[in-house]
Amino acid sequence: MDNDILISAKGLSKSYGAKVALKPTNLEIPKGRIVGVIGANGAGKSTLLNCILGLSDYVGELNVLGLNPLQNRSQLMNDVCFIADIATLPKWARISDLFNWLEDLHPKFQKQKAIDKLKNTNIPLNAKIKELSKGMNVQVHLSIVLAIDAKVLVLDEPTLGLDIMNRRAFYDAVLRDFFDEERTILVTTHQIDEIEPILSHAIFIKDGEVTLDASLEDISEKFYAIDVSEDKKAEALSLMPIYSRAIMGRTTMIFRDKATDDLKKFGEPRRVALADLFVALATPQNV
Amino acid sequence: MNKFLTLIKRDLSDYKGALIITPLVISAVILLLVISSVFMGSLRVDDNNFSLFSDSSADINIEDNNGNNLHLQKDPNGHLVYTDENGNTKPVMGDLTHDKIKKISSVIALGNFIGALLPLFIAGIVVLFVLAGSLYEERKDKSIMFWKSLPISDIETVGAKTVSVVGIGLGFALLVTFVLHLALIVITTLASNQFGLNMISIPDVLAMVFKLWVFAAMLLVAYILWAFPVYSWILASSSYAPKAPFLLAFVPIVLLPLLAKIFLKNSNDIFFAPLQHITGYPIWKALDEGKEAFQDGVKNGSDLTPALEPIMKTFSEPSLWIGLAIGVGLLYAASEIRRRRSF
Repeated sequence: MDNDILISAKGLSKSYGAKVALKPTNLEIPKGRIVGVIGANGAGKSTLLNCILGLSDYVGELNVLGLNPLQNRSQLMNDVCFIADIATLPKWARISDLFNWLEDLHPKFQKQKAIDKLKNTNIPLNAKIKELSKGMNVQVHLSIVLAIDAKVLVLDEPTLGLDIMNRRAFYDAVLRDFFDEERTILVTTHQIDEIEPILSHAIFIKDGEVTLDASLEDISEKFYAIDVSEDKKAEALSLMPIYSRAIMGRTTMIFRDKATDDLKKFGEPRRVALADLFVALATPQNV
Repeated sequence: MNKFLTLIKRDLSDYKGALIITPLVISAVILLLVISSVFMGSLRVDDNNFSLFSDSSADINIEDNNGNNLHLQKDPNGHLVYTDENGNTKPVMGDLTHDKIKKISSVIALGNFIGALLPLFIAGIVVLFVLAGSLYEERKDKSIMFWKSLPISDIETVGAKTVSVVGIGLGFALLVTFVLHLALIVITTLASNQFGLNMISIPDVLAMVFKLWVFAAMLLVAYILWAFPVYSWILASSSYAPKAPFLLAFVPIVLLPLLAKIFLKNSNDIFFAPLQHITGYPIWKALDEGKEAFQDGVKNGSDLTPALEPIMKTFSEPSLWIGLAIGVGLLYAASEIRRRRSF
């Protein structure tokens, strides 16, 4: 396996009884990437992440940092950190106790670093988790994760329920204190616009199926959006856009694999926002 | 090893209320009741006056076995004496020989120990509830996802929970029982001296206390070994149960012999085995066999080891070892269920 590939999957799938949560999927995620896993609720994002984390059984081949996650979860967690979409810190524990236990339980956890991170907040070290708000809970979890010298950070809707200030502070902290070219971040979120500027790779999932797996660079070379005037609409449609949306007298079309010179006849081709591309690929062809 | 100890510390912090606070509170209540009863017994009300621990003689007339009137009072040394109808003053406890004092001391040590066992009995029941919730609650509050994001294997988690809940939980309750036992003996000694009944020899009491503690510790170890397969079954149920883990664990244990009797017309021991293991039936049976040796030991203030022999003999019973093997298998099953289930 290529040393740069941290996560690889071949035919990875997961079913809950008759319901297929993740259809056979092939993936390769190299190091030094920030990968956005984007999909609607129930699309299979968390299922994919849970398989990668060894929190769920699966069918197919999956290799994370050279390990089978289901067989070697505890070993894998030496190098993988995880924040879920819900508050998972034990409510009965005190933060100080949690830090003390983690010092013994995780060989790569630096207690002083976590304490220093927490000092930047207004959360007292001796507070109990159950006394904290959702935002504070995330801040404590983040201070733990950032104090672990891991190779992969998995974030499953980590900022769900936080206000815009806390959401931005969260991602700023992750970028500042965790990310470098040796590490990879996998993140799922509904607030695509907010994380788009930091993403280097995007995976779209719809109904358990990966509909797009590409770097942002590839996406910006492959997909273009154009605002088409009414008189050129019919001609533009003949180029088979993958998506067309008319709003307030203006029609926006998204094209895949078309030469920019051909598109320039209808307007100035521009980069497609991930949110728009996601909707375009998730919506049945309406053009 | 350090990791395992930390997991135990974590579990004890989680179950502090049930495993640590409960035996302490029960002991405090027992002590409070005993101390208040001593105070109530020392309260004297004479007309409009009342006093505690009065040194003056009580104006009490009782009858001896022959129907003669006896007048009770304390002598200048604080000993309880009585005056018979001929005007002779004698100590209530008579002239106690060392043997008699030793016997009384041993019986007092045993009597107080039986009273002090309550926290341990309650802990035996509490442990069942804590075990049933241990692997279920972490799923319910989703904290399992945090713990699973750490380099801790499922078998380490299950093993630590078994040791912390069963081993430390019951071990701590036994320690509390020992401390309560000592406290009750101190109160009994002070109270009996206060009432003028100087009948206890501290060295003899302590000697019997130590023997009783060793006896109880051995009993507890034997009980845990016998109950181990049921503890493991409860953990496996806790790991699997979608809800109500306690019911899932105990309904089969209670219903199994009942259903076997109704539908199979069979009352074979095998169907009663889980119930027998968790109630410590083999231990009770062995205790009954060693009853006489135990009584002799307490009466004479001598060694209690002979009373332990029938219990030691249970260690050679195949059903104990089969149970232990099943217990290990069920612990592994609990860990595998925890490892494989999805969230």
